[in-house]
Amino acid sequence: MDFFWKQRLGFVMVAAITVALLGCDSPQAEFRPTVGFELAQQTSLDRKLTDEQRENVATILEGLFGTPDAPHVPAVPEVDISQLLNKTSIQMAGGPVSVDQDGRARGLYRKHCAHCHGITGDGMGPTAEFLNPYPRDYRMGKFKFKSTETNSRPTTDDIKRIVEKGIPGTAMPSFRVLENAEKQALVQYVIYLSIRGELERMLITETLGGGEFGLEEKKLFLSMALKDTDAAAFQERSEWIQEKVAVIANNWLQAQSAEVPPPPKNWGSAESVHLGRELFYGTRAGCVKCHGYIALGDGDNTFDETNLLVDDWTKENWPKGIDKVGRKQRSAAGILEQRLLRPRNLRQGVYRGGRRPVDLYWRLRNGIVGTPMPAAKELKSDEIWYLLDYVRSLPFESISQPHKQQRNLKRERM
Amino acid sequence: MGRFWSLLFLLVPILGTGLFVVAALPNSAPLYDHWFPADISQDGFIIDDLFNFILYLTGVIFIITGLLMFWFLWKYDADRNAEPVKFTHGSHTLEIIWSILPAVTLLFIAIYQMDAWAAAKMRRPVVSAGADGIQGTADDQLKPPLVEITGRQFEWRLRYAGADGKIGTPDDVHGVNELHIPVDEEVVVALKSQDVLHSFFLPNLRLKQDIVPGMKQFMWFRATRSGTYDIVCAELCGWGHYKMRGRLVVESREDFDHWLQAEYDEQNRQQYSPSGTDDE
Repeated sequence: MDFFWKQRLGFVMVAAITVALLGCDSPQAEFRPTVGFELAQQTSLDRKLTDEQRENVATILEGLFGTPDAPHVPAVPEVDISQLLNKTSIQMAGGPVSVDQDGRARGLYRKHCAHCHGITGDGMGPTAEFLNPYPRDYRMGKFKFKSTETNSRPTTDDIKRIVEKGIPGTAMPSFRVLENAEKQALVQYVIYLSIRGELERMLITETLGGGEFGLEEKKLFLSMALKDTDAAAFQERSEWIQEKVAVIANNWLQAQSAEVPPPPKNWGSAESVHLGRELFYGTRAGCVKCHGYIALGDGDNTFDETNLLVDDWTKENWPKGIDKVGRKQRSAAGILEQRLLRPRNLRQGVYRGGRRPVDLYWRLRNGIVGTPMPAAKELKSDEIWYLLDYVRSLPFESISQPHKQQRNLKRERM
Repeated sequence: MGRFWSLLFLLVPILGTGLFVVAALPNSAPLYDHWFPADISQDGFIIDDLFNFILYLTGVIFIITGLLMFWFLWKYDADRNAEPVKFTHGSHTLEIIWSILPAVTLLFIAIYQMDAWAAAKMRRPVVSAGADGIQGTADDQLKPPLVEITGRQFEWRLRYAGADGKIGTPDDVHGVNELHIPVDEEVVVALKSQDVLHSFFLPNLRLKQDIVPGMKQFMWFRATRSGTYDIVCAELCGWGHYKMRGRLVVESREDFDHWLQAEYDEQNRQQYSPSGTDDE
């Protein structure tokens, strides 16, 4: 009896210690290739990437940006990329979740962001498919809620603002209580993933022969073999890569908030709201086409089955006239199902990109990049201000007769 | 081997009690400050007293039970007792005692805590007693909420009443995850949920309220110490439950008014200047 128990106890102890030492390992984190873009380019350029070519693109990217576990900032000539991506911050945000010797949190991106936005920043994390709208895929370099011109990158403050305040009406929560350095690190990591993604797209286009070099079929963009056979071409392409990273980084560095002119004098008055209303229902601004006649986000365009309201990410992933095989390929690659956009219901008083008049001004003036919401190029700044005044009054404007509610004292007490 | 088990079971009351003692001692490793967070409320001590009362009561019973179990195991170890087992039909008197004692104790706790419950859940502060002049009747003018807090996966959205004191008007001040309240003032907050069950928990104020979608609930408290404290969600609300952390900033009325005005001004920012946009 004694012997039996000793044996059993010993076994349990050994098992417990083994588990404690080895832990339950998860597979190593890897950057995922951008399948949607590759498939789209394949169709338009009528060529396919070989496995070797795909591998080659991944190798080039790894050389520049490192791996998810060991990310690094690419060295770029002539552009001070350290202003944008700081080595310590990138390492603080990247890598696996842990705590360093000084007790500072590491792997912040994986802890807070990756389950929706994905390790790669492709908006394809494990929880992404349950969300509407889907999480942002950073790799196009397009960010909806920003203060800059339509096609500019957002400023770092814009991204920080989103991290801090969240996006009401979507699944993006606020990370306000994180320490400032942590938030800063996360912002930089998002930019890092975005730069990496943009370069990846360029490399795929080049490898498919659709770019500046007009590569032949099945040729690698940059390899050691090329260095031996054609040193000049190797040199040229290496420089091209560096130059492209510099261009992308420069786009980020030069992003500046667009100026917001002061509102007209009668702004905020009933008159201004009235003027805005005229614009809202008028043909020049054309708001009702999408936002609807009572601004519930149910305009005529939402019923147009020939021109579905989709964003640029969906357009790329699910091109028009795609066949069954194409659909299967995309689903197999984990690309999230196509979803239609809903124009904002303006009566809810929920403003995704911020509710400040400046935010709304930027939204109207520059549109929302990547979506059918256009930039109001035709409108004068005063007109935008009037329009904005009307939009801001919408949650408080009654649709019909104001509804008088009996005060329910009993319920209010509890 | 026989007595080994009795000693093993003796560890239960010893370690169990030890854990509480270590947790409650200040700066005791490895459970540094694992006891209650600082109480900054006027009425929190009532909750703490209730907790302590129940803890001591159950603690004593826990120790006695643990020791009794050890003693029986030790005394009646089969290896050392050759006598045959004796059976008994039990004791009527003992059974009555151990039924009535817990019943009385539970009843006592149930009645003893009623006032604390009523204060926390029913006696919402009133502004005036209404037309009949009697407080506690249906026409009381209840104190309006200072802020409406909406839990959603996974953050706390805030909506301050603003200058007109009413929530749902254009002058509301919107915020997220950082709740400011004035110190030494009775504060009423309204609680709502946008999606699933959440629980608004202010550990330092000893208050917790589950939030049910479709219901509006109220919570009231008086914070007595300025500072920054935690807001947490105390109901598993989804995979991002841990993200629902917020910050409670208790400050003087003056600071609070300043802060609210600054937030209002920022919310109405009509001009953009390229410098000084960071609010940290």
